[in-house]
Amino acid sequence: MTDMRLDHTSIHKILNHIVDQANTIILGKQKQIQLALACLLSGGHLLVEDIPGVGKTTLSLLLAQLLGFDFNRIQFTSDLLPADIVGASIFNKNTNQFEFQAGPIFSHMLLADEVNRATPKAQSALLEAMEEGQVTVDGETRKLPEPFFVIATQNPSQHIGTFPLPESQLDRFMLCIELGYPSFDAEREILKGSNRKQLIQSLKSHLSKEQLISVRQSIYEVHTSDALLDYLQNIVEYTRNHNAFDMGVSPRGALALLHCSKSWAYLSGRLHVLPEDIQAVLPSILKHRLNSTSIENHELNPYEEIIKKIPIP
Amino acid sequence: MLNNPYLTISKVKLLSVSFFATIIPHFLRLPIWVSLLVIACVVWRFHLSNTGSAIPNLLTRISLITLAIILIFLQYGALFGRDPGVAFLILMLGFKMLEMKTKRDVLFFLFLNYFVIITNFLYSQNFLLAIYMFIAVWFITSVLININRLNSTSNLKIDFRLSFTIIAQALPIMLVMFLLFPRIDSSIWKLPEDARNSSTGLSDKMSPGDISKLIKNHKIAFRVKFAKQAPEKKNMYWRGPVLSQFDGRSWNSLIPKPINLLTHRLEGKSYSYTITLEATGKKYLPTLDIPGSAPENAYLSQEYSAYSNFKVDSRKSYSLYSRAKNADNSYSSPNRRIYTRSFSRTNPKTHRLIKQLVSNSYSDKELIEKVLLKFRNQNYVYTLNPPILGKHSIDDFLFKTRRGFCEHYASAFVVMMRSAGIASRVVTGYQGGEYNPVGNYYIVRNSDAHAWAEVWLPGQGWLRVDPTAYIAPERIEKGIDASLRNESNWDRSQYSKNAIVRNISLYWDSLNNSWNQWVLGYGEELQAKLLSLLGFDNPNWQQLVILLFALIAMTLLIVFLYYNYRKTRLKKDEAEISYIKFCKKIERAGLTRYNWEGPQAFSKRVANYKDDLAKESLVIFDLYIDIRYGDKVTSALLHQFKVLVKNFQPNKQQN
Repeated sequence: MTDMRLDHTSIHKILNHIVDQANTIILGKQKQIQLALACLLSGGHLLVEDIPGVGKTTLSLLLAQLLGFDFNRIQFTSDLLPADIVGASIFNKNTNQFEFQAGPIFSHMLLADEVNRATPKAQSALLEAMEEGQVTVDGETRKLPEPFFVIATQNPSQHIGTFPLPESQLDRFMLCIELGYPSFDAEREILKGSNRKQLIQSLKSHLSKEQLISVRQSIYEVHTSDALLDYLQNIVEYTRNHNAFDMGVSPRGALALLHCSKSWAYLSGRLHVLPEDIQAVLPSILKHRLNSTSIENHELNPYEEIIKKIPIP
Repeated sequence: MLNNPYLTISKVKLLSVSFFATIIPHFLRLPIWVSLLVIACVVWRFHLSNTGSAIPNLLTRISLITLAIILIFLQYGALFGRDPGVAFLILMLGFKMLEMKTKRDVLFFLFLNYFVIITNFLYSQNFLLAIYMFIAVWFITSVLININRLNSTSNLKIDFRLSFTIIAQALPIMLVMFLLFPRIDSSIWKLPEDARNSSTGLSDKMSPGDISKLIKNHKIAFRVKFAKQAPEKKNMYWRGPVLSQFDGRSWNSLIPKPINLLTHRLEGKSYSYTITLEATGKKYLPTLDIPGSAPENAYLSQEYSAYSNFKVDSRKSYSLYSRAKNADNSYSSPNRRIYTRSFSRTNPKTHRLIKQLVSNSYSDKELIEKVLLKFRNQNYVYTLNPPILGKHSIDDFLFKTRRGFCEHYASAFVVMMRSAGIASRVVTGYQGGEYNPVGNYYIVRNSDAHAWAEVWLPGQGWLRVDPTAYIAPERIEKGIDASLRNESNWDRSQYSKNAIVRNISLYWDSLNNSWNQWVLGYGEELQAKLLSLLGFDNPNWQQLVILLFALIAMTLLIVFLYYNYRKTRLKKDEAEISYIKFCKKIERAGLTRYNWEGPQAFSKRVANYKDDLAKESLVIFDLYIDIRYGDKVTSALLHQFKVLVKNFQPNKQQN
């Protein structure tokens, strides 16, 4: 088991297998699946933003299943209370004491569905837990299980009945991905094929929790050369100085970019990060962090455009 | 209005500081009410932004402007001209602060700051002021950048750095424009009449007390740089206007007539020098005693004084030479009606004394010596504070008070000579000067002003006789301070400095002198010299403009290339340079790398492009990735990479 960390090729094989399996369930979304996996492997939380019904929940279920996590799901509604998330102390008549009833957040993977439909109070209960890895109820601090992942899904904020997450909280999600409609062929496949939920149930996990933790350690140790850090910093600097954006990337955002790129490189079977890795994850890193003031003017995705602005020597 | 992002308190702070940076040099010159009104406007602006209230209504604004116009007219008696114009501009700029509503207003205000700051040059073109204005412009530019950056995380430090870069980039263009912009006839650029402040200098009249007034002024009159050797200090007589007409009390100069340079002959040691004269508002040009010719646009009078064709309203620099001795050996006396006229009705005692002296002397020379000896031996005092003289001023001076200044002695001496029938005249000018070893030149101040006499002797021409040298020899030998240091109202601050202060002031003056000569003095003449050095002789202004634009384009190109170079070359290690070579080779084979494209992506593109190219290049790409992004870089790997790139010869594109 301890050798697992060193045995990079076998772990890579497992990860490849996971990706392959995921691709058989969610069709035509290889990039998104790999991004989601990269995010989770580097210990970040994932935000999936899209219209209802394109497979956000399926993706979360799938990842939980493939990584072998216990999985809880909270459907965020406008009357959701913080106690519904973290749990509450309930008086036990027999023992004459308050007993803590853990909420759904005490799990390895939490799916917060439609997170922007809840009130800010409920949202912040979740987001605090995400940042700290612990919750405090009735003055007692309780640690959340390790590893702890949150996959939050969110409807585009133009939808009626949403409370958009503030920038400060959006920053806590490492990546923000969009799924989008499936392609014509993929949709035909979905329509013809069997129930996705059942398919997921039939999948098996290939990665133990200990292995996962060691994978995270290996990802942390992926090499980044000075030249690469130069490139990364140039990107960050660009977002801070360019007037197309209200605010630049925060240092936390820069760290997220670094970790996620490492994890992407690792998933691609490398132990060093290339500029291509940064380019692959960059749009998803920036999407919820930068508020582009000129999105309307861009025909292309502005986050893709940034890549073309920063030269790689 | 309330949430106008361009007029928040912090932005108004910046705007006010840039405003004050623009006008602070004016504050010393402006009437106090202008300064107060401007400050009031700024305070008002703060109040507006603080409370978010609307700008003052049209009626208020119009009344303010009317008030300003009336006050300015009352103050200056005019609305046009330098002083009222500047005051008006500054007041309007202050009012503009109250009127700002939109981003456009704010930008307009800042642009006006650029305009108004130039008015400082109407008053002084000092080196320090130029530096100050650079800093102020830097500040205004920073504020301009800050205003344009509607960024909540805006950082003033970044704005300052950016604006510094912008100004630094503008500098070479400024330099080219400065050097090559056609210097059109200066009358177009002339300042309004009131900009020429009453300068001090010698006058073409002299009554007792005139020069002693001038002497209390320590301002620099001119600076002299000798080409080779300088004469001894005691021989440094700087000739100004010659005063030949005497009306019994005061002296006047004749209307200068140009000398016939063909008969003007000099002998003795020759000195070449360049004088940089401060503005005098008059036409005379001081020269070392007898100049050989006149500078350009000037003429030499029959009395050896140089006169410019125009009033010297700004600093003027001219070069000429002088020689030690007059070689006029003619025996024909100058116009005796002018040069021996002495008004026998006034100063009777003097005339009597001279008659007595003449009868005891064999020659004119002996007479002159006797008079000078009289000055030396009879307790005459050299003083800046002579008593007031009566109607017979020479009599009073010679027989009663016996206290006088150079002008008294020169004047008394000439009257005595004329009374004896010897043609003579008073010469005003300067004597001596302070040597500046830093810049190797002499500084002559107004306090070095002097008056001496000239007598005409047959066969010798005009000879200089300085009676002051007999009464106060230290004046001539050591300078004005040595002879006056015990006087109560002699300002010694100029002379009694300690060595360090003195050295600093010499350095400072030297710096100013260079600034005057090479920056402020850069006009048509120096430009022509520079152009002929560049190989353009006498270009017309059209050619000059073409040259100007060509050079600006060149400068821009150089700046661009430099930045390009820095972008591509700086911070590059060897691997990178080789990689760029490698990419160039692939480019020649037909595939160009996007500058944002990573090595792996590019290698895939290359592989898809041509199979044979892929085989050769893949190794190089992999090696580069290992070296640049991997964690096991060795010099051997680097060497291998360089060799591979060197030997990489893709087949040329076959189309």
